[in-house]
Order: sequence, then C-alpha cells, then structure tokens
Amino acid sequence: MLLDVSNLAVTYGGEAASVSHVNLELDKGEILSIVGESGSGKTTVVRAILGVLPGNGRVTEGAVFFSNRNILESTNQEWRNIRGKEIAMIFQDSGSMINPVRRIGRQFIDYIKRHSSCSEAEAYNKGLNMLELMRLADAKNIMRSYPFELSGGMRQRVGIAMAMTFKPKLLLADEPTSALDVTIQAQIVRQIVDLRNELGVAVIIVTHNLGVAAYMSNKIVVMRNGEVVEAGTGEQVILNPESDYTKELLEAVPEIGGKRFV
Amino acid sequence: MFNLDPILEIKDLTTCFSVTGGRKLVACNKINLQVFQGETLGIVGESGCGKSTLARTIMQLTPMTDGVVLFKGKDITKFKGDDSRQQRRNIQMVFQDPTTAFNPNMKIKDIICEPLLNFNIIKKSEIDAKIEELLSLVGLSVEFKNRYPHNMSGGQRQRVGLARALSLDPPVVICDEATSALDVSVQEKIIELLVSIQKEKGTTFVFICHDLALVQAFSHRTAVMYLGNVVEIVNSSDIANGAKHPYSKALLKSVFYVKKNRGKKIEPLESEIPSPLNAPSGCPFRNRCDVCMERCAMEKPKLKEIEPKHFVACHLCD
Repeated sequence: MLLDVSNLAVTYGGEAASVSHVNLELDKGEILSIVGESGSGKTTVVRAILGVLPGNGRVTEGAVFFSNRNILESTNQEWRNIRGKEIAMIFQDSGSMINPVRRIGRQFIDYIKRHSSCSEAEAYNKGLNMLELMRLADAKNIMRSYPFELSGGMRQRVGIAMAMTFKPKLLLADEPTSALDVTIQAQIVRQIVDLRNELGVAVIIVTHNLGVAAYMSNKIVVMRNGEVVEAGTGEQVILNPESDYTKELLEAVPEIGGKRFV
Repeated sequence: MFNLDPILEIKDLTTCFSVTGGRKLVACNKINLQVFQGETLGIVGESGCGKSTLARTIMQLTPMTDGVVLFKGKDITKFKGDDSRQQRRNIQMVFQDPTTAFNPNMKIKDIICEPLLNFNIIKKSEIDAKIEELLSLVGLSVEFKNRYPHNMSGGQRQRVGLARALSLDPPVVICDEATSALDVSVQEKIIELLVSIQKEKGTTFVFICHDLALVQAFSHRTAVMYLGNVVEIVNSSDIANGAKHPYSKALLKSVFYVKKNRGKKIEPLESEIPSPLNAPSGCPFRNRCDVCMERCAMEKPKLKEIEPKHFVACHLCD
C-alpha cells in the first residue's frame, strides 16, 4: 500500500473537528477522487497529507502512512525531502502558486536546483523537457514568460510539469480543472490519466465535478460535513451508491440525454 | 408552441472595445438572435467567447457599437431619458457572483425591494408586506429579510439575486452564469425554481452558462457561441445527436458523463481558443477545426437555417 490514511481528524482551532474519521487507501498507479460539496473538507484532507494545513489547522487524530511510514511524525527537514520529490501537489489555479513578478523559467530552475544537485543548464533542460512532456508548444518561450502572459490552461500545465519533475510517487491535485473551460478541462484530465499510465504515479484528485471523478478514478470517496459518507471503487459508487447523499448528488448532476427540466 | 413574434430580437449586434495601440477587440460580432415569449434560450461557449458581453449589451450595461435590440418590436437602445429608464423594467438580470452583486451594507429586504421603490411601485412602508411575497416566491423563509448578504450561503444569496430580478415582474430575465458558483444539488434547486416561475408567470429566460449539459437540460433552444460569433442555434433536445457545427460537436466530446455513456472516451479539442485580438480570417473556428477546408480561410460562413429552427454557420452545411 503506497498511502494509508487511517482515522484522520483535523481541527482549525475550534473544539469541533473540521474533518474526522477519514480513511483512505491508495496503491501505486491508482487514481482516487474525493468528491463533495464546498465546505465538506475535501481540501483539508489532501492538505493534511502533505502537512500544509493553512492557518491554525492541525491533525488531532490518526496517521498518514506513506510507504509504510507515518509521515505526520516527520521533522521539518524530512518534510522538505518529502514535498516535491515524494509527494507533489497542484492547485486550483497554478498561476497563484507561481511568483507573479518572476519568469516561469527562473522559478522552475530554482525549484529543480533546490531539490537536486543540478547545474543551471541541466536544470533548464530538465524544465524544458517537462514542459514539452505536458504538450506545451514552444516551451522555450514559456520559460521566458511571466505567469500573467499564459492562459489558465497553460499555467495549469506548467504547475503539473513542475509537480511531476521529480517523478513523485503521489500527486495531490486540488480542484485542478475547476477554473478551466470544458475543452481545457478535458485536455488536463486526459493528461493526468496519461501521466498515471506512463509514470505509474498515484493521484488523489479533489473535485466537485462528478463527471471528472467518474471518468478517471479507480476509487471514489464522497465527503460531507467533514466525514466520509461513501467510499468504494468508481463502479460501485457511481452505479450502485449506498448512501442517500451520494444518490442525491448523482441525481443532481445534469447530463446530456438525461433528465430535462423543460 | 411559442408566439410567432419574438419578445426579444437582436439584430447585427456588435460590441467592440478599444485596446491599447488603437486596436479594436470585437467581443460580439454581428449577433442575430430571437427569443420567444415563455421560452428559455441557452447560450453556451468557452470563456472569452462573448457570452457575458452579449448579456451586458442587451442590458445596456455595456454600450453597443452597432445593431439593434428589439423588445416587443421596439428598439430599446434608441430610447432616451425617462423612456429608457422605464423600459429597463422589462429586462432584468441575475449575476454570476452573488457576493459582489449586492451592496454589503444593505439588508436583504432593502436589496430586493430597491427596484420597486425606484419605480414608485410601493411605498417604503409597504416593504415588509412585499418582501414576504418575494422571499416566498424564491423559496426563502421570511426571517431572512433583516439579514445582510454575508449572513447567507451562496445558494441563498443567489435566490436573493433572483428575487430582486423578479421583483418588477419582468417579461425577460437574463441569467449570466447564475448557477456556476453553486454546488450541483443547490444548482438543481435553483433550476427547478426557475422552471416553476416560468410555468407560473410565462417569464422568458436567457440562460448563459458554460456547462453544456446544464444548458441543454434547462433550455428549449441552445445557441453556441465561439469567439464573438453565434455558430449554431439548435433545439436543446436535438443537440446531442443533431448538432452540425464542428465546434458544437467538439464541445459535446469534451463533456464528462456520469451515468449515461459511462466509460465513453473524451476527445478534447487540441489547443486553446485564440485571443479575439488575433481572430483568424474567415471562419473563426478554422484553426482548431479538424474538417477545415481552403474556403474556410477566405470566407466567413454565415448563420443559415439548414432545417426548421436549426441554424448553423459552417461551409460544410451549405
């Protein structure tokens, strides 16, 4: 088992836990989707796995076993080695993760050099290769660009390229397609699936889009109010949901050729 | 099914913005649309295709460069002074982001009743009586009337936006991505509400949304926009099998299915929508189109009726 989250609980300062009793299991090369409405605690779970809870958020209970080691007990130095190399993360808008006043190339090179002992030229070439792998046309030009010069879809590809540079075993994706148009969303989803197929990376994707979850996941976890209400393989959850909440959620998704309102 | 005279008709509507360097950005390019009494017209397209500009131009929030907007046969853009003000009662709008659409210092009852006071339909003393009726129309309990917008959830705020738009009993309501910021279950409730209001009052909706699945489920007809142009208008029930324009087909292939057609491979369009400042010559879609011909670069296809109530702008359909 690559990742085993057991009985995780997170609180943001208050008495009540924001997320509790979360159990996840993930093997190499699997894609797991966490779906649920806003405020259900989806993002909190993935942030807890990487130890990057915002504000005064902290894990109060449970463990996160990554390659059979509880990474929540890591020291700061150990966390630094895990983040980026073992587990990487992409965000809803990769543009806001990148420094807006520095060129993409400069940041990419710094990132690569920080995590490995590359020379400047090696780091540049590695960055270039990663951008090309993400099917970004004219990668050299992108290395010279500022984030604002790229479209949302291109920035998201740059974010994935950076995250995948060190071939992490686990990729955490927090709403990676929610800010994108449908056509670009489809491109990015296809690319994440390709990365899984080619590099065998395991992926946890947080999304509120059940279509995306149904399309790409081996496993689906449905969350509500900080708790897991349903978990199972993609087939089980989509075709034979057990909890009423999952049924309601599936019922509410508009589909082409499905229920019509008028 | 509908009256033959359109309640709202847009002819050759063009909206340009000036950008630095003296260039012109054409956000809406000679758009022609007809909307009939009691129907819902869905408008779908990627961001930057001019959907919102179209809505704002119809509302006269953005000045148009050229064209006419006819409401019941009268060109509302030519009205001046009080005539212009009075006609705004006829077309109301629901905005995408309900957090920024309201004055945060106003109570819900003042927000919803402001249009009524503006047109002297009610007196200030009548607000409390009227607010009950309007809140119940959108399914909110009357205790919300003294709250402020920040005390409500996104779905509740969107209902307030709807109540404000409906307060003047407008024949036409334009919804610009009115449900995009909401969760699916909340979205479904808002859509059901719109449908019941339409049945009760015969309201006409123009429903702008980037979610093709939602648009085809909720609207009678769907207009597909690309780079400032309407490329196809089709009955929503026919769109899945009857869409003719390569862009409409490409949009359909990018849609993720949940239960229906499960496991169907998506075939996303390669590349991205070009900037409207560098729109290709001829057909705006030609550089992403997989059936592009020589003619497409030279001549822009016109929107033509290829079968009753089905319009397509593509040389392949000639």
